[in-house]
Amino acid sequence: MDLEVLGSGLNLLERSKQFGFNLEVGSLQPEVVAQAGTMKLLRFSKAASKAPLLIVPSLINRFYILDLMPEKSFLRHLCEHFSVYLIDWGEPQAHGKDLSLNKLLELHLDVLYSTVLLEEEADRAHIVGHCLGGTMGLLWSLLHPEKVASLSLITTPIDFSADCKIKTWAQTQTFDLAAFREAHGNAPSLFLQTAFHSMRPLQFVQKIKKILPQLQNQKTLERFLALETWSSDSRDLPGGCYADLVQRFFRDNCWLNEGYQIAGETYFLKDLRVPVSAISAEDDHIVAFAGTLRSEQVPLVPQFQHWVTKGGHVGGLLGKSPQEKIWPLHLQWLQQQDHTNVRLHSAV
Amino acid sequence: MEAKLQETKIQETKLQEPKNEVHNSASVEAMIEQALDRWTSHPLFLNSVAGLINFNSYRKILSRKVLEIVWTQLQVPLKADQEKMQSAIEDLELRLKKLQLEKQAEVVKQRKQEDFNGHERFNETVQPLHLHAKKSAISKSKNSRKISNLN
Repeated sequence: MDLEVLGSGLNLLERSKQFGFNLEVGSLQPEVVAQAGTMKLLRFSKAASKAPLLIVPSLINRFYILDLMPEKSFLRHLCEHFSVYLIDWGEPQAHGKDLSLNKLLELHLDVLYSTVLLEEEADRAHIVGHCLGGTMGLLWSLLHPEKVASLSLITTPIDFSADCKIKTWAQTQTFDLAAFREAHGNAPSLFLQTAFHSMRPLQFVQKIKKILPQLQNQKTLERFLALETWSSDSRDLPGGCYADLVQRFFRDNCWLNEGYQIAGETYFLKDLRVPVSAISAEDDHIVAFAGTLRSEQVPLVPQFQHWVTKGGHVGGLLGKSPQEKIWPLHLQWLQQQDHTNVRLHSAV
Repeated sequence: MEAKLQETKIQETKLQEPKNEVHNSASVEAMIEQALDRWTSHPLFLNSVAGLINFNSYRKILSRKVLEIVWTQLQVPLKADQEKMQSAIEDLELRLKKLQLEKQAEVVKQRKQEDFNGHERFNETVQPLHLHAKKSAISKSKNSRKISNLN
């Protein structure tokens, strides 16, 4: 992986090399297919699947959590069966404070998604969204259901009223969101990281306590360092996107209330009509389990599949048990949607 | 006997001590975590932190506005104007790209349609040839039978 993708995580990576660790974080080498502002469309593989797969990672931390290590790579697992594309959101520039979620969807995501369909000469693509990337994928599927073969939501928040620390903080009405955006432009990565780490202030102590008895175990140490590299490697969030996320989702809880407004229309979750699968983690302290997607919220989808795993926000996807049990099931589901997609939509 | 009993009691207490330590530290941690959790959700904490962040934001906005007045007087371009321009240029670039991609997608769709129609036309034209070949094959076989009968 290109070292430019790493931000502050590079320091930890280089430090660990000095101590003799040869960490391979984000080992897959993608090809840059297109660019929209600071955002890049990366191609990881070309396969003989009927519809390509577009991975939409979270807007906050970097995408290589999905390709953390060669033996813990969700991307690598998907690359064996699909043409896999991924959006690297990149580092927002100073004018990112004007980049709202609506603009991101209508312009940036539109250009990148259309490029995927053109490259593969396909009418539809599968979307796999991770965390806030799932929110983007969900919005896109509501806007353009005719271009989506299936939607997979991995630890994606839906009901923002579910009890969790971020919700309590974001709903503090005395916090002047507009002034924050005006003053800082983009939401600084330090601000966001501090908030995330403050959700469990003793987590760092607990991690050290857990790792100390296993100092002799090279593999465990490498995994720990790889995860710490990613966890310390955050980036700024475009100011407009940050304001929209806090106001529309955390404060107004638009999915369950007045809907999401874009391009003069209002979209509701219940209008979703594409096959959906969801992977949720029971012990997720960032995206509350009670706030993930439920089948009754999407009555019109032709197929709904929900897998629940043990573990937290990252462990729920990359843990040993999800890797052995959920990944193959999810792949099977995607292949089934691929086959259905060809059967239903093969007419030119 | 009593001395032996005393010894065993001492050993037992020594064995117990580490367990108590672990149990105690875990419970102390849990207590601290609970306390921190309650404090970081308390309105007093939330409003104080929000107040601090707001103060910092207002200070930044005010100092920027003062500087903007100075730069405007000196007729120097402002950072805000530059950012707006960059944003507008990026918007324009993306809209042009979007139009380009739509056109390319239409061309691909047309090509696919033509390929599909061409394939259909090919299917239609092939069948009569097959019939003709069949007919000629049948007539040939009839002739051959006639010849063999004559023979």
